[in-house]
Amino acid sequence: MRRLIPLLLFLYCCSSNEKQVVDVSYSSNLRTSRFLLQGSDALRQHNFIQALTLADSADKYATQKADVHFFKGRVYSELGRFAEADQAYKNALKAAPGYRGVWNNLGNNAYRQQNFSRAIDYYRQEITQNQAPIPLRALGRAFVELGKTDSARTYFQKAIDLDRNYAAAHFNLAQLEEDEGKLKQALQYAGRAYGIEPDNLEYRYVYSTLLVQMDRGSEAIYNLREIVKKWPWHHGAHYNLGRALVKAGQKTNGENYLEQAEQVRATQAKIDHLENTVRALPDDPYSYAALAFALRKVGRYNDAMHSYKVALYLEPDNFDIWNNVANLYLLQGDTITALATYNYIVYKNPTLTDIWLNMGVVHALSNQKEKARSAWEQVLTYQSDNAAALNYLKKLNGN
Amino acid sequence: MSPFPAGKITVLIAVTIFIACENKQPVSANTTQINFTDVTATAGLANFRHVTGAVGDKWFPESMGSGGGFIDYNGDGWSDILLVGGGVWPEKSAAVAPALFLYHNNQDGTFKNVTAAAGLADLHTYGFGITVADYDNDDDQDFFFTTIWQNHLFRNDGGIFTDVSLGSGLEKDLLWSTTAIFFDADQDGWVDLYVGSYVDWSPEKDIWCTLDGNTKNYCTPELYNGVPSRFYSNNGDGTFTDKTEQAGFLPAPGKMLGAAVLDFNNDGWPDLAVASDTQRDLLYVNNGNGTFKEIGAVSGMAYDENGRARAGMGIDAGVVDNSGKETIFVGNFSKEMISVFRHQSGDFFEDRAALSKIGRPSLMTLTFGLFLFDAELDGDLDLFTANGHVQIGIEHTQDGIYYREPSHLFLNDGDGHFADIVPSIGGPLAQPIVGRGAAYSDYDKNGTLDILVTENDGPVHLFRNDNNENNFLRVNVKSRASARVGLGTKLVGITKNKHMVRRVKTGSSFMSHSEQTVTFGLGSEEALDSLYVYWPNGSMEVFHNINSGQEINITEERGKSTVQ
Repeated sequence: MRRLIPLLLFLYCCSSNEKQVVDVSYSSNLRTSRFLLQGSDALRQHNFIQALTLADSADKYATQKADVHFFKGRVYSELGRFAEADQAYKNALKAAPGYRGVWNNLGNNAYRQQNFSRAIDYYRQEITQNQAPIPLRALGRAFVELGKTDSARTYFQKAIDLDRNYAAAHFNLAQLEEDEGKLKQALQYAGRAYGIEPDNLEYRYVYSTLLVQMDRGSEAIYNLREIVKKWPWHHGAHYNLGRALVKAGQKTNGENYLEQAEQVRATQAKIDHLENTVRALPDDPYSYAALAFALRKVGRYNDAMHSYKVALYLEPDNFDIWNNVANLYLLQGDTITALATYNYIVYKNPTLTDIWLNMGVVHALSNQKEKARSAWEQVLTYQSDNAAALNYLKKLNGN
Repeated sequence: MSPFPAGKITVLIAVTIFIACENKQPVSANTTQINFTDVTATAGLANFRHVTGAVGDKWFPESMGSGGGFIDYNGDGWSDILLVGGGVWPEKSAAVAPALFLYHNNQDGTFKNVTAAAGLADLHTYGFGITVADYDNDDDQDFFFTTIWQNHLFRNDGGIFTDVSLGSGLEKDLLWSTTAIFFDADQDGWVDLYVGSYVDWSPEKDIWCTLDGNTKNYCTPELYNGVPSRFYSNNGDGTFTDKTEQAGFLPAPGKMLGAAVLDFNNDGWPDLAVASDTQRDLLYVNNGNGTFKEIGAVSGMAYDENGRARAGMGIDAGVVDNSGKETIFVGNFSKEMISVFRHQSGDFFEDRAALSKIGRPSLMTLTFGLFLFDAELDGDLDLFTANGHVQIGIEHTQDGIYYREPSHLFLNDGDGHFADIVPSIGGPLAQPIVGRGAAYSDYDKNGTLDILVTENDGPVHLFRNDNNENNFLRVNVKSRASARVGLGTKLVGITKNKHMVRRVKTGSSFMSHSEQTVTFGLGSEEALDSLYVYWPNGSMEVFHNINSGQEINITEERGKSTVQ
């Protein structure tokens, strides 16, 4: 369990496991607020350059700068550029010393850099000003990482005392109990987290694995099958499903899942390594692109998009990466954004025949024959003997 | 009749023996104080220093460290010490580093360096591990030495060692070897050899890794291809035959760092548990004929609870609770619990890392050497671990994790629940070191088990166990019908309150070798009520009322054993 969570955290700094405070509470005027809300939308879609541009626009009109600094801090945090993020957050504090969430987010940055002692200091600062469940739980998690589990338990419980429906805190208590070997209590806490957020696959998974550990694997088989369907890249789900099936007497079926688990695990190990590489080389777009490629391959499209977009932030004119982004939009079923991205690429560099080719294919699949023809003819403008384009056009013409 | 019978008992001879012993006052185990003293300097071991040959290239093998341990090279019944010196890179250094260091036990708590006199001074290589056994059944202790290049088999000729690698059948592989283990896989009376292999590395294949994006640091093994370990069958004439494939050891993921013999299914045939670094751990069940089937994943001992392969290093197995079932312990990386898997039934094991209370306290340390022994002689097996990180300066990039780490000594409450007493007792075990190999022996023959720990690029430590309040019985076995040193013999000692299962074995821990003498901690008991001896050939004998405070020798003859 312990190794799974940081893995997911790395890419989802705003997942349920590491809640960033995102309130726009100090918005000084309507125009600034509008830019910041648009920026938040851009950030949600991992469009970091756009988000920062919108932040600059907001900055131009802001009378109270704290919101803008805070937002920039969020963007840089998501980019994994912690020095810039910390500076932005500190600017927010300078502009508005009591700004809610700044210390929490500084703590999250420190946590992600594995500086847990500093994270604890920051979370404590936040709690001094803002006794809220999010920093309390975050503080608990930092204590877990330093092996101080009694303190961790105290703060998880305090978070729950403030919000009984705080699923993540129940989940953390489940993990604590599991690590202590108190599986029954762990199951209770995991059950509560899962009950509060039944769509959360992570909670569902942990609940199921606890059942497997308690020799009640047959009760977990249905859940684990569902998780494997939705998270085919998740080796733990494969492994536990295999174990549960073997123990339930379905040996062959179970062994198949165990074999799959080993394959998925080996792939995950490569992804882990790529994640370590981007941590060590945060300015290298190719490391991010490699990670994105690996994530795309296993079907983790949203994570892959995040990595590609970080790569583009680092090297905005890399059209290979843009092409991969467009292709990923296609895989995600977002044809419109894929086409817009292809258009953006050929607008910047119309000689890229591969992009025209791809655009033609997408148009053809959408039954937009004339647009497809136009795109493929563009290929021939730059490369008159392009066999693929000629072939596509031939098919389009019914020959 | 033992509640844990061997699978193929053919002979039952009951012998009652009464052997004079030292008088000892019974002391309650509950009041026993655990105390270790670092006697490295006074024992004469202070001059030893393991070297890595590092000159700044951060080549992968430099972070590995090496092992060491105990050997009775001259057959005087006192444990001598054999240490692996590490090595230097020929192309990087003109200096030469001795590969091995042998220290003679002077029987007064001190040791004398006899490396040259024993014929071991001329070997220069890049070494890792040792394993000791009488491979040629001539009643002395030979040893096998693993390196990054060719491995070496040393035959003991009256206290002088001869390198008999060439022509032995063991010299052909030039792979990076780690832990090796002697055991009699087919129970033909000749010990076989399993040699762990790590990864396909050479200076030309070294990969650039970094923690901070600027400076090169040591890589982790995920980046290199694993190399499968090898199994050699002893031909009984001083040579070995590679039977890796025939015996069922292929395919295998490689990256092996530890191996332990066990017999989890109690069929009397030795099984093998293997710790692998960032690959699944392996469990080879003996098919009853010296061939094996790998069942790690199905058994549940290969991964953590999320199906994740850990950084398996040191390993040991033993019965640590009243279930009578064997439990496997594996040392792992920081932020990974020490693995604890107890045999459940059939082929299945259950994960008891958290339940045993070992899991959480082990999360912040990186464990290499690891072994089970009875630290306070109360009759149950405790767990010692030698810890130390592989990345110099890890504390600057990972809060709460340190390059130099204290050891763990997990005391067993008798029912498989453990507590690390090092934070409370302090002393030498609490000193942060870059721990790697670890082994135990009663080097001073006072009945307590002392600890030897090697450091990477550092000194060796000899920690004398000063708990001499509880009673003990030490047992040596020799065999005429099975392999001479009695490897694979299971001993079950029974007192009023304890049922102690022990095994005569090599291997376990990390590239190191502990003594083969079996120690029964008796607490305040004055005698062992019964001692069941399950010989590897399937016969069983039982002895009664053996007084404490002594070391006895049981020699298996054909039909009837002798006790001295």
